[in-house]
Amino acid sequence: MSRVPAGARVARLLAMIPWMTEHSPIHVDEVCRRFGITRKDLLAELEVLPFVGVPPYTPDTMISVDIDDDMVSVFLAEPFDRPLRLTPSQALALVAAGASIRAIPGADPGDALQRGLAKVAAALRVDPERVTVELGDVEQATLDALVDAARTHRQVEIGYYTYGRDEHSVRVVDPHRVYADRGSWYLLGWCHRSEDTRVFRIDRIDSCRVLDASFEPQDPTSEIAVFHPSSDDPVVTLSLAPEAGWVVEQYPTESVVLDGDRTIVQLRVAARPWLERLLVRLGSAAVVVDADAELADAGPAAARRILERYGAA
Amino acid sequence: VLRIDASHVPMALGLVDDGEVVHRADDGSIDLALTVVNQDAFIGLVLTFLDHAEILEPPELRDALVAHLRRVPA
Repeated sequence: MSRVPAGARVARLLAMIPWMTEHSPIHVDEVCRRFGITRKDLLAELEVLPFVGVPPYTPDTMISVDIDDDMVSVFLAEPFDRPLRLTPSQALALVAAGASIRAIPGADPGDALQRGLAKVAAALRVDPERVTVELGDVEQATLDALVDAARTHRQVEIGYYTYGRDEHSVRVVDPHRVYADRGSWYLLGWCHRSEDTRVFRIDRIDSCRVLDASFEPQDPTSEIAVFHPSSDDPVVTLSLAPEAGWVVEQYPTESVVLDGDRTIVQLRVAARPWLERLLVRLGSAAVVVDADAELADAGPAAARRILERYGAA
Repeated sequence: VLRIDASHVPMALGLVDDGEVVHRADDGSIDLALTVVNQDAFIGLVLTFLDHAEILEPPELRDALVAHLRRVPA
């Protein structure tokens, strides 16, 4: 199967399921034409569908798929036919999510999503225009410049603070996409300094200049905008006290093993300052069980430096 | 009051949205006055700056941060 990012794959599946359900039985080739995918990819997606359902995931609550002589039939389980019932907080979360999409440059305020959310808002008796979603404290001029540069395929030169490495740098970037996620704005693009795709938090960009140089636009679905540790990054093993359990939820882990009330977790470390921050924040709640020589003293060394500043080393 | 080194001022102003800059030094560092409602969360915030920030006052918070750091396993 071709490599499609998980997010794009789910979005495609969500579009395919209702359409195939409505048009069942439908020829495989017609589904491929409509959704622009190969026969092989479609059959792979159809293999996944029988595993999609709702709790308690018994056979009568799962999607069923039937392929007979290249004709596909998709049947939704009975729970899918029930009217969607939202609690007020769930409904308000939907309206707020819609407001955040409306805040994205280029979003159509009159599209089907916004019209649907307006109906939800009306049922809640809230004015969606008054739902404000704050997406980080960024300079509007920087945001506008990056959006425009991404649209016109112009390179940008940015001054950037790299939190993980605790350093400031100036980089030339091909801006592929500007997007918001979990309350912050991000820039996804090709970084000429790193010679790799990078994600930049826009509130850490302190200068931005659009250059005359242009770049070839990229397929927007060809990149996954999340942090992936490199397999070359060293691994550190930590023993975490119960109050440090959030580490497992917050960071990508190599392994997690429970040992009594403690959690033994392996993390890949892309940069030493990141590990220093983690260990000084955790204090006595984390013990380094195993680490490469250059990382073994990260916690106590950072603590010592900070204590020196307080005259307490 | 939290002193932030010049190199970390943009980051600090991005992280702290309810602080008041009470002093700007010639070297670019700033002193931020903040209201602390959760001591543990505040110490966690200060430690994200590693040795690029320092609690100037009150002394109880300085002492709490120092005590926290002294518990980092060697």
